[in-house]
Amino acid sequence: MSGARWQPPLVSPIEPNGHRWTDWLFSFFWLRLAFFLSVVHERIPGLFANGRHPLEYMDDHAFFSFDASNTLTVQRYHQLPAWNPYWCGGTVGIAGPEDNFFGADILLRLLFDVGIARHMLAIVGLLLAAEGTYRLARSMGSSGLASTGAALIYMINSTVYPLWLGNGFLNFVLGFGLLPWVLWCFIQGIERPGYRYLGGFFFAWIFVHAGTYPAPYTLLTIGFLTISLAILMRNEGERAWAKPFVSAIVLGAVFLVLAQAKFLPLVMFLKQFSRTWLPIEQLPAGTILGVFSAAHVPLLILAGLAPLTRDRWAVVCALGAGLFFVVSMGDFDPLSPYHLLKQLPLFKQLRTPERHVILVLLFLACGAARFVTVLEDTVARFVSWLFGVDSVGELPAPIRVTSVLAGTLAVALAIGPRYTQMLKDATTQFASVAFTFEPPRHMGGEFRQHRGNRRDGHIFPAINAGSIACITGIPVTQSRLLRGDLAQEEYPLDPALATVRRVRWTPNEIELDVQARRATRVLINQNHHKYWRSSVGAVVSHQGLLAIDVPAGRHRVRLRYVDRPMQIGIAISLLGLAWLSVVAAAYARRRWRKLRATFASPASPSGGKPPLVAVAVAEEPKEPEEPPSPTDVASGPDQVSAVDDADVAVIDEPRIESAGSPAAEQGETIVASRDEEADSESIAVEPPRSPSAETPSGETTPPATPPREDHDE
Amino acid sequence: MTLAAHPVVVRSRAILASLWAHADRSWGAAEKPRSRAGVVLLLAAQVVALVVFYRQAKQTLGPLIRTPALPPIPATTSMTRFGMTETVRREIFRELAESEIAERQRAISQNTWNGHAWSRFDDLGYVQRARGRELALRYSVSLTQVYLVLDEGIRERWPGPDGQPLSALVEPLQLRTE
Repeated sequence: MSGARWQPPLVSPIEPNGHRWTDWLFSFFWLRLAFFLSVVHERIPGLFANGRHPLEYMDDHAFFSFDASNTLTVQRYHQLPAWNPYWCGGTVGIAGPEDNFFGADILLRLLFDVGIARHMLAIVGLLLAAEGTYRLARSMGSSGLASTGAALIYMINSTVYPLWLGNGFLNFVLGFGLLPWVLWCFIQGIERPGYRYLGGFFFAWIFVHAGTYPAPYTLLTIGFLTISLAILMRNEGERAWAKPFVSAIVLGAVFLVLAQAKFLPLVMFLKQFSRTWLPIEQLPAGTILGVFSAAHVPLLILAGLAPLTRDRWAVVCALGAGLFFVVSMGDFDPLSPYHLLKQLPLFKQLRTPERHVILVLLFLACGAARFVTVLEDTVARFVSWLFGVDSVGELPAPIRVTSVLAGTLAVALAIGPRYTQMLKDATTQFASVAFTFEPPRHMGGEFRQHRGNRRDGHIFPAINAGSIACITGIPVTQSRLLRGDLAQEEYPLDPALATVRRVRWTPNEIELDVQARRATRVLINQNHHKYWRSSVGAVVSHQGLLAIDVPAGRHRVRLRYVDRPMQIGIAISLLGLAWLSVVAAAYARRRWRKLRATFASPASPSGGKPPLVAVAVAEEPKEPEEPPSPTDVASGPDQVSAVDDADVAVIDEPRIESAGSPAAEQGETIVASRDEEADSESIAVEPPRSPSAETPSGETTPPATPPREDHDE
Repeated sequence: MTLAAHPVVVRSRAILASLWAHADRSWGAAEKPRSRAGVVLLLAAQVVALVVFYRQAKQTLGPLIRTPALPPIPATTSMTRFGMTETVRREIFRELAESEIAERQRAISQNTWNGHAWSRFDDLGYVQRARGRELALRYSVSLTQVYLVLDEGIRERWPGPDGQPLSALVEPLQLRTE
């Protein structure tokens, strides 16, 4: 009979070990998603109404404009939005920090109207936040119930999410929604290489989706977790401390490759323009605490009590919450974490330290989940004690099943109302999320510059006009000569010397017929940028305006915006994606073969390689799989055949030991496979798992993954 | 053949045994099934879960996705442009110009932003936006139409209340650093 060994309730190892059958009830991905969706629908109804409307706040209108101009550039002009003529009189597109073009959610914007896509993006961001937090909490060993609670807290109860949603900062909503996914992959990646790639993908998604704040915060959080876990794992085997570093480095490398399409052009942009932010920002602790409402008190209590159990994940979460709380207080001292962060190249351009509260909340949610899990397990452990058995797993099945259910129900009844109260509290905070502002109405026609208004930026792309009046996070150079009243947007500096006629206009390419009696200058009613190239003459800056010096004569001038760093970046990212696709395909193939092997072999409830739920079926976040026991591996010809079929069959014969072999007796688990990435089937002789192991603090803990015991009820 | 040995019964028992084994082991978590029957049942359960999600998504996201688009700006006719007569357009422009002139005067008289030119121009946008919404309501037109009228008035150099056209220039971006 399998089961977690009896353990002193105050001690938990860092690896997940608190398994309970009720977790199975939470393991259905689509059901969870339906539940999270229903909560979002119930608590933030504004997201589901007025499909094409923007929010009232002006920043939402600017972001709406970026999305609309990107979509327009792709759909009408069939170009990548490298240059954005619809904002500021022309500015960089993809290279801009606020541009989100390369986000995987681009499909939403291409398939639906921009307004609808932005609503859906907010919903997707929240669902990602919930599901990612659920997986993160589960990877810390928290129960399904506790992890669901953590997910709801992070998704709905974050006091910063309402602000971001209400202001239209969907890049934050999505970015911070993806952050738990990166952390989950990082933690899983400590033992399972495949997750490092996936984590890199999520991190790159955060970055390319205008991850101005979410990306650096993710980096910071991974750094914190890497160091914390390395310290906590230092006694868990040879070079165990290095595993978190390996996971972080590989994840970071994959991120760097995939994000190049945005990374390279952005770096070039930041070299050209930088942000100056002089105020020293600091907030008293009381102000940060004020972010939490009375409804958050149960959360703070649960998360505060968790470290008392000496659960190591709870300690990590408490440290994380504490650290980022202090970071949120800003630059209050030359040695304050925020001050030190501001010395770093990437971080020095950031402001508003209180945004780190989102990380405080994430760690509080996960920390509270650990304590809820301990409470949940208490009933079954108490029953075990009553029956005088060492392990919950040794209880008679009906009693075991009932006691676990009783624990889950008891905790749900005790804590559920508090969490519900938090959700109700959130409703008032989300009241500002109302998409009630009038959407733009479309009008065709040639592109021209409008004097514009950055507060209604969403209006202009719809009428194929640029808004010269604008704002950007990082100030770009804007020419004084930009005008909103020109009869034609391309014109000669001296009308007596030349005539100019627009032949073709697209955001990144303009064709002009120029007839010049003498060498002269042609002006374009857009800002100059060094990446503009001309087929005739030379591109110059005329008081910041884009201009071409053309020779005398009649010319067909072709003006193109060529962002080489972006092109190089895209090439690198595509190669990375292709490589990742190959890895994913190989992985899927292996999974499919294993599934087929399951069907090929006779039904055998207890035998064989661990089969899998395939492919398209979304599945439970991976617990570190229990390695098959020696008896499992060497249980008979059927199994060897199945294993062979499953592409994990290069069984290193001499290494296979029977249950009674010396290796098995020493507790070595032998698993065989063709390559390292075969999940739990990787070729490895795992280190001996003694019934108990020493924690760094000298506590005795049970093995992280207790050996499975066959049983016949 | 006894009933217990009947293939259907044997098969059913095997499935039940598989299920029970699965549930029983599940103190050890949401374990993956280890038999064909287990896999099939789990797949079936996942399909049911997917159907539940689909229904939920259809109910909540359906109306959002089907939100009708606003009609485009009406085409120009001999009497109207942007769906308005010239008289209405000139009235709207005059009111916009009036509020702009008033805001420029206020900025100078109150020395707003200590003379920071871009910030003052940005304030102008704030006023323009508020007036634009008000005019859109009053004339039963869209905000888009109001901005089109502003554009037309600036291009055509329609005179404002002071007899002067509005400037077509903007103050270049110069963010405040404090």
